[in-house]
Amino acid sequence: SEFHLIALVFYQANTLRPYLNTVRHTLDASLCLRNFPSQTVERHNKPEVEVQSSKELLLNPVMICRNEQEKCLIESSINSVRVSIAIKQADEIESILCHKFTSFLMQRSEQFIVMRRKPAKGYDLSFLVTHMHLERMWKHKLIDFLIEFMEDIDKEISGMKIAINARARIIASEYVKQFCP
Amino acid sequence: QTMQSFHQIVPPSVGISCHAWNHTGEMLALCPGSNELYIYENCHHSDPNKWIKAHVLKEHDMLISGISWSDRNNKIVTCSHDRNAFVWKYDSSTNQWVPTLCVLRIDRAATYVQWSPDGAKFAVGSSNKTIPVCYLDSSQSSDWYVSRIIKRHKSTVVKLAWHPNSQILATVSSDRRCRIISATMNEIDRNADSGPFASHVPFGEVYPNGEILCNSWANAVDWNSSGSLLAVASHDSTIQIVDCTSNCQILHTIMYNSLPLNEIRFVGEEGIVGVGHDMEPLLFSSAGSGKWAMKSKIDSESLNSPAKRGSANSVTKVASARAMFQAKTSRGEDSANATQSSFKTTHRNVITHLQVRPNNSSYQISTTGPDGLIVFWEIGSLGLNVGSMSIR
Repeated sequence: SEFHLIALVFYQANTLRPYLNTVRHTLDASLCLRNFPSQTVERHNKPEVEVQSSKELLLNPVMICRNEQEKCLIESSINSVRVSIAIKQADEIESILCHKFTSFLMQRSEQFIVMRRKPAKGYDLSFLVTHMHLERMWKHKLIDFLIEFMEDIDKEISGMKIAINARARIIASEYVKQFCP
Repeated sequence: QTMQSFHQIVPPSVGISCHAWNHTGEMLALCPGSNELYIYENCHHSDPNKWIKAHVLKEHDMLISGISWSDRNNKIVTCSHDRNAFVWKYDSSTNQWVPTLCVLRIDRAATYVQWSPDGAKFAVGSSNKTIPVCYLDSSQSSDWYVSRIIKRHKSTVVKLAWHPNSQILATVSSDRRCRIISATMNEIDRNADSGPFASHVPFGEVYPNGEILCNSWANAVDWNSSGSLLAVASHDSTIQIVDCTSNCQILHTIMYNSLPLNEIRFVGEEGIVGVGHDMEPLLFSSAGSGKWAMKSKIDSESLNSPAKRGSANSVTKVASARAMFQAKTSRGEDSANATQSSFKTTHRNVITHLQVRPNNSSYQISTTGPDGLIVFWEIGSLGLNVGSMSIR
């Protein structure tokens, strides 16, 4: 079973690069946005992927799955793209950590500029990239940021889980020392 | 080898939404991503820093989305997201550009504007799914521009291109279609000219078989100089070449391996140059084989030549280490060559606009975009049969 564990970890690591590469190439194609004034309200300029008022301005959503739990949904339109990610939550602790961590981030979404305050349905975190963002920021750097974010969030949550377990062990052993000197 | 030169004419934080040259190439009109129109003079000077920003015109309320400068009557027409268009006429006695209102009758943004080649009318693309075609009405005591509306479209009209006979419009829209529509107006045109088509069609109607379907949003369109061929670029990285002399048959569909284009122009009868999300001009040609295909990317191939890469080896270790840490803190890049490798192109953002620069020596195009750069490309040196260029 030790062998099993190593093989599983190796396999998981093997799917990360192709997964992120696929997401990168899809984003590179989807993020071909333009300044597109609203067809429905005069003098307005709205992200069409959020408003969804004109079907001809939307592209087919693309879902990229690493496994049943980890996936990425990319919905594009003529002037905006919504990227939603579902983060790996293997057990209850990871689930609680993920929920708390993502709500911490989403409360501060203005700092991230492209982050959405609420995730799309069925996902843990969403980003909204509009034409205005691409005018101010370099496209390849924005894609780098999104890919690194997806990579790092898994590492952060695993790190937090390890820290919790270590802390719990230390506290428990200190407590028991009172009774067994 | 292509020669290119570039100039940071407005800061990158501002960007350029559109630009246009006057008929000699001595004056440049551009919009710096705002509601203002800048007019530069002295543009024949080889040093762009010596160009003079002679006029700043503020009449629009919102972003100016299109500028067209007629080479027949020297008038500038601008259209904006505020649903208006103005025609600017130069008054030499006061050295001012005087605006005239145009009654477009649209209640959404205007996206694009173009004078007809004869300078008698102009057409405006709009988010209202219509195209007002405007002409000067001098019957009242003061001059103003009135319009006749072309409908037919199911979504925003993104761009349009006039046929050389000034009576046919090719339009592209986000409803994934290119349409060839008659703009023959009895008030203006003396003789109805159907161009490459057999018989003429009334104003606002689509010519037979003149609706070309694309797989994605139709982004750009251009006629060749004789008005027989039409090229349509769409968002699925495809260019369709349509032969209007033989019932709008699609001669070729070029499927190229890069990102979508925003603007295309015929270069003579055998070449097309396209600009868009690859941040550099792409060249398509039918020279030699008679079959259209993508020939080359004009920018990154020359920048990646071995001569340029070799110069990095002569930098000392300390200097390169310092540069690496500096790049890491200021720009988040992790190698000394990062700037060179992160931008293989001159433009740093998508190219949104292309114009032919009137220049008596060679065929030059100017490209602009949200990075605030204006870049000039010598297309004439690429060995294509440039023939007679029409300035649009």
